[in-house]
Amino acid sequence: MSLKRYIIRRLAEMAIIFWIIQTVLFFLFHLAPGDPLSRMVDPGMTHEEEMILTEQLGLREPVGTQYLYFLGNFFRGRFGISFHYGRPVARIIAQRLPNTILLFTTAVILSALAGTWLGKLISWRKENRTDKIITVGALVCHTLFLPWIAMLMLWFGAFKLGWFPVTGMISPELWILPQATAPEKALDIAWHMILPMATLFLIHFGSYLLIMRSSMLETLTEDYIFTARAKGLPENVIRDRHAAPNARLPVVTSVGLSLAFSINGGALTETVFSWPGIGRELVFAVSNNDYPLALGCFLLIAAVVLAANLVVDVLYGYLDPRIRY
Amino acid sequence: MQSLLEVKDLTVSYTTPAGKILAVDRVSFQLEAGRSLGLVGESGSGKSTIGTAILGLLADNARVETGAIVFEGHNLLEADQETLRRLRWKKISMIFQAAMNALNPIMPVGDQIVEAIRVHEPEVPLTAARQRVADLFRQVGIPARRLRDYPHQYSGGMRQRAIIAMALACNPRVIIADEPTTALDVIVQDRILKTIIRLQDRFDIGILLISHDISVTAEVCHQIGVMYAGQLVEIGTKEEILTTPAHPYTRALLEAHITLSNDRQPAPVPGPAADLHRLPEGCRFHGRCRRPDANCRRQTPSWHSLSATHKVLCREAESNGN
Amino acid sequence: MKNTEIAMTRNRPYWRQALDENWRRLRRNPTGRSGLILLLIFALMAASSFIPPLISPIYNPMHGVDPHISHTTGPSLRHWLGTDFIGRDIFSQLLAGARVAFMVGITAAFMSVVLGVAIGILAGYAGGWADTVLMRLADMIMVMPTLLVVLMAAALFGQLSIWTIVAMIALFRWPGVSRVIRARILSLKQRPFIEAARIAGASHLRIMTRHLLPNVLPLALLYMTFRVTSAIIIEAALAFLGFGDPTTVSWGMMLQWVWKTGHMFQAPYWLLPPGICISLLTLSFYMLARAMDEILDPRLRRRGES
Ligand SMILES: Nc1ncnc2c1ncn2[C@@H]1O[C@H](COP(=O)(O)OP(=O)(O)OP(=O)(O)O)[C@@H](O)[C@H]1O
Ligand code: SF4
Ligand SMILES: [Mg+2]
Repeated sequence: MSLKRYIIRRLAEMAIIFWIIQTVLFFLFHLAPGDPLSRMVDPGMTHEEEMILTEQLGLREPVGTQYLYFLGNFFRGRFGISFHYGRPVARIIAQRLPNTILLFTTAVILSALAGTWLGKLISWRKENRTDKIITVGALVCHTLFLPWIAMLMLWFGAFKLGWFPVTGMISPELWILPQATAPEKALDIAWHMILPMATLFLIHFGSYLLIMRSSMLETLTEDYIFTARAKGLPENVIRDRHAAPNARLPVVTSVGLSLAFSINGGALTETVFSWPGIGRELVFAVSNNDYPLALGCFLLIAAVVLAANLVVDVLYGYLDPRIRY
Repeated sequence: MQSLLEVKDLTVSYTTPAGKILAVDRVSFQLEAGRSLGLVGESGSGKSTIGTAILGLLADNARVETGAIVFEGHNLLEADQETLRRLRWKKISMIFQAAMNALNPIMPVGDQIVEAIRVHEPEVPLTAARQRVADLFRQVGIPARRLRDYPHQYSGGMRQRAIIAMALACNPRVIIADEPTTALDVIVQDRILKTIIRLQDRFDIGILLISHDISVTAEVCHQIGVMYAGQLVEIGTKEEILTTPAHPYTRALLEAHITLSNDRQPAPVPGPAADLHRLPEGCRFHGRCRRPDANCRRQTPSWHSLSATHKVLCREAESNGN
Repeated sequence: MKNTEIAMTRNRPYWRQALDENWRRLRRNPTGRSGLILLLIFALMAASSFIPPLISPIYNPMHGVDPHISHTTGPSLRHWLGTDFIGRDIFSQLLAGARVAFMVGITAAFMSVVLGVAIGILAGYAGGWADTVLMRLADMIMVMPTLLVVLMAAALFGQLSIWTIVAMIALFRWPGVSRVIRARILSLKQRPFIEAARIAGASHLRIMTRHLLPNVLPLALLYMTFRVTSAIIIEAALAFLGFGDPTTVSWGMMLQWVWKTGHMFQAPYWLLPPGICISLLTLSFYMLARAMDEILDPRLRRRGES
C-alpha cells in the first residue's frame, strides 16, 4: 500500500502549503491599509448581526488570537458572511464549486484527449503540409487572448447565429416549470455550456497538441521505437502502442504544471459568459469589495489547484510503471 | 551454393551538415545457415550501419548508394516496405544492446514478445503465444513468472536474455546481434555468449555478430570480418584470423587485446580513429599502420586471397607474396 | 579576430560567436523569422504611438475626444478605426496599447527571469537546505494562479499602478524559470571547469557569476521570451476585468470598454483590433521562443541542420 502512503505524504505537504497561503492572506488582510474590521463586517449590517459575527470571528481579539479564530473557523467551514449576498460565504461557494468543476474539467479533459490525439497523428507525418498547417493553427489557438475569443464566440454563436444563449448556465423559465424532467434540465445546462466550453477547449487544445507533438517527435528517436520497427510491427501499432503511451507522460506533467495558469482562463471564461462558477464569483467579489467572499473563493481555488495537482501526480504514476511511491 | 544471406558491394552514405560520408564502402560477405560471422572494428567503422541496412531500417539521412542484400534469393534492397515489414523478425531478427533503451519501458516484457509473435503469426492464439514466450524464457534462463514485469525491474543481464528470447520468438533464419554483450560485466557476458552459441546450434540460425571486441567474435563465430573506416579490410575463418592475421589493423586489434586481456576490455589500437569526413588518399589505414611503404599513401590497396576463405585488403600481402 | 582582442577579453569572442551563430539560425528558421517580422511591426506601432496626439489633441488616446462625436462610430478617414463610446480615436489607442504591452511584457519578463535565474543558480549551487527551502517556495508559488493573486492584491490595496502589476507578475512567475535553471546548474556543477575554478581559488560568488551564469544565459533568454507572452496576457486580462492602471490605455482595457459598455455585438470595428493585437503579439513572442528552443536544444534540432 505504498500508493496510500504516498498520497498521505502528499496530502500532508499540501496541508502545509495551504496553511502557509492562509497565513499569508490573513496577515495581508491585517496589514493592508484601512480598518481590517471593515473587511470582514458588512458596513450595512445591523448592530446585532455585527455583534454575532465579530464574536464568531473573534474580530475584537488581539491579532494572534484572531489568527487562531481564523484557522479554527476555516475548518468549521465558517468563512464569514458575504457583503453582497448577505449569506454565509461557505454556502455560496458550495453552490458555485460544482459549476466550475463541471465546466473546467470537461473542457480540460476533452481538449487533452483531442489535442493529444491529433498531436499524435500529425507527429507521425512530420514535416508535411498538413503537419505544418495544424501546428501553426495550434500555435495560434494557444496564444489567442481568451476574453476576446470568448466575446467572439458570443458574437458569433449567440448573436449572429442565435443558436446559443448569451449568458448563464440555465434557462430559469424552464427550471421553474414543475413538469421539467432531469434530462431536459441536463440538456439545458449542456446547451448553455457549449460556448464557454468551446472557448476553453480552443485555448487548451492548441497547447496540448503542441506538447504532444514535440513529445512524440522526441519519443520517436528512442531505441525502443527502433526495436518496434525491427519487430516488423505495422506503423499504426508502433505509433499507438509504443510511441504514444510514452509520449503522453510529459504531457501529463505539463498539464499539472500549467493548471494554475489554466485556472486564470477558467475565471475569465466564467466572467464573460456569466457562468455561475467560483472564478466569476471571485472577480465579482473583488470588484464589489466583498472581502469575505473574495477570501473564501481564493482559498478554495488554491485548494482545488493543489488537489488537482495531486490527482495529476497519481495519474502519472498509474501511466508510468517506473514510478514507485 | 547459394548463401542464406549475401551482402554484395554494399555502400551506404549519410548526409550530414559537414557533408556526405560513406559509412559503409563496398562491403561484401556471405552468411550460411547455422554459421556465424563476426564483424569487428572500432567505433564508427560502419558495423551497425550494415546491420540496419539489412533490416531496411536505415536512418532518414542514410542512402544505399550501391550493392545488393540477397536473402534467400531475393534482393532486399528492391523489396517494398510491406514485404520488408513481414520479413523483419519473422526471417531476420535482431539482438540489441540491452544497456540501451531497446525495450519499451512502460510495457511488460512478456507482452512485447507476444506482440511480435502475434503480428507475424496472427493464427497463433494468445495463450499459445504466451506459452511460447514462457518456453523461450526458460531456454534463455529467465523464470517464466517474470514475464509480467517491466524492463526496469530486470537486471542488465536479464534484459539481455529477454531480448535474445524476443529475437528467437518467430524462429528467424538470421539474427543480427549488435554488441549483444557490451556494457555487461564479464561473467554475465560469458553466460550470454554461451546461450547464443547453444541456441544457434539448436535452431540452425545464421548469426551476424557485431562487436568492437575481437575476443567476443572469436568466442562465438566461425568466420570473422574486420572493418576499418567503412571498409571490410580482412575476412577469414576464425582460425585464419586468429593465427595468421594478414592486415596490420587486424594484428593491431589482436595485440591490443592480448596486452589487456585480464579485464577483457580491449585496448584501443594506437593512433587517431579514422575520420570519415577526411579520409586520406591511398590506404585508409596508412597513418596508423606500422609498415606502410611509400605507395600506401598513393595507391588504394586491392583484395588479395590468401586461401579459399581468407582475403585481405592490403598492399603488404602483395609484396610479401604470401 | 585580432590576437590582442582575444587576449584582452577572454570570454567575449566565444560569446560573440555563439550569439552571431544563433542569431543567424534564428533568422533562417521560418517560425523565428515570422515571429521577428511580426514583432518588428508591433515595435513600429509602439514607436509611432506618440505621433497621433501631436497631430491633433483629438487623437490623444486617453483624453482626446472628438468634439463632433460623442458615441462610437465606425472607421472613417478622420478616425481610421473608428471611435469608442465617448468619441476617442481607436487607432491612437491601439498604438498606445502596443507601447504598454511591450513595456509590461518585457519588464515583467525581465524581472521574473532575473529573479528566477538568481534563485535557480543559488539553489542549484548551494544545495542542501537552501535548495530545499527555495524549491519548496517555488512549488508553492507555482500553484497560485497569478491573475487571481493580482486580483486579490487589487482587492486589498485598491487600484494598482502599472508598475505594481508588473512587479507582481514578476514576483509570481519566477518559479518555472528557477526550476529549469537549477536543473541545468546541477549538471554544470559536475563539470571539471567548475572544480578547476574552485581549486584555482575562485570565490563562490565568482563561480556563480563568472562561470555558471554565462552558461545559463541562453536558457534564461529563452525563458524570458516565453515569459513575455504570459506577462502580456496577465496584464491584458487584468485590464479586461477592470483592474488595470486607469491612467494607461492598454489593449485589455479597450476590450473592457467594448464589453462593459455593451458594444460587443454592435461594434466589430472596435472589438476586433485590440483582440487581434494581443493575440498576434503574444503569438510572435511565442513563435520566437519556440524557434529559440529549437535552436538551443540540440535534441530537437532537425537532422541535416547543425
Ligand atoms: N544517422 C546518422 N547520421 C549521420 N551519421 C551517422 C548516422 N549514423 C551513423 N553515422 C556515422 O556513420 C559512421 C558509422 O556508424 P555506425 O553506427 O555504423 O558505426 P559502428 O561501427 O556501429 O560504431 P559503434 O561501435 O560506435 O556502434 C559513424 O561515423 C557515424 O558517426
Ligand atoms: S596497404 Fe599499406 S598502409 Fe594500408 S594496411 Fe596495408 S601496409 Fe598498412
Ligand atoms: Mg554500432
